[in-house]
Amino acid sequence: MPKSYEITNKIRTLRFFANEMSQQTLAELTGVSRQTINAIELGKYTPSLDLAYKIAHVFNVLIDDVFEYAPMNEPNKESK
Amino acid sequence: MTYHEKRTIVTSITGLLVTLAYFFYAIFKYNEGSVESLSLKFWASKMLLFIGIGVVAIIIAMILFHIIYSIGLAIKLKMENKDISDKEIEQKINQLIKTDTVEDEMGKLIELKAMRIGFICAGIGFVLSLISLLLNYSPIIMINILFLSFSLGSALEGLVQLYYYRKGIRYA
Repeated sequence: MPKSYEITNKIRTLRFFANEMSQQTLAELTGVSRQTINAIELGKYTPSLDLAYKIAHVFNVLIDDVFEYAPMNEPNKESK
Repeated sequence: MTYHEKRTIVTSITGLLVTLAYFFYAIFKYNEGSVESLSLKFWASKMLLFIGIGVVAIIIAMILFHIIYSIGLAIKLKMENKDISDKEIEQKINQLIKTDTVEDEMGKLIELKAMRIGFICAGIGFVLSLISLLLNYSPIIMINILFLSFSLGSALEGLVQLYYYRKGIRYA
């Protein structure tokens, strides 16, 4: 069975190191709504490549420093 | 709850109320069995009337929603910072509304997904209306099934939008 992957992000941490930048400011700088930034941060929405690059540009980092494509933590099947 | 969720709730409830109003009106008129209610022209005029009522009701609901939303934001800002001036509040509200009302990629994707569900509902209604004709029901029943399925499809679209705004879309 192919291994499942998920996209995680470090936007909250990056916002903290950018003088506690608000979600609203990040939304304004990337041209999306506050709700979308919140959804991305919580992992509820996977952004397009375009938006992912815009977010990385705001923090002046590489896209890999914002998003990570990591194996999904699967629930322990033996515990059933 | 975010701006988009609140707006979706307002439009869905308004749409549902108008649909329900038409539904009860149609049942009442059909059971009444008056001569005028036996013509397709009568039903077409009533449907057009209810479409007009629906459009006006949604416009009024949206105006009221924006007024109430702005007042709510102003109260929240005033409670958070009591020294804030009215001009600053106005600027902040304008800024918040500007960022909240942006139609971005997530909003468009949710809208498309919801629209697909709405069209499926309308499509099922169309098939049911054709079946009603095959079963020798009157064309009045057929046209009413069509109208209600489109109205319910529109209401369902709102509910699906709300669901996706809450749940989110991963790996779209």
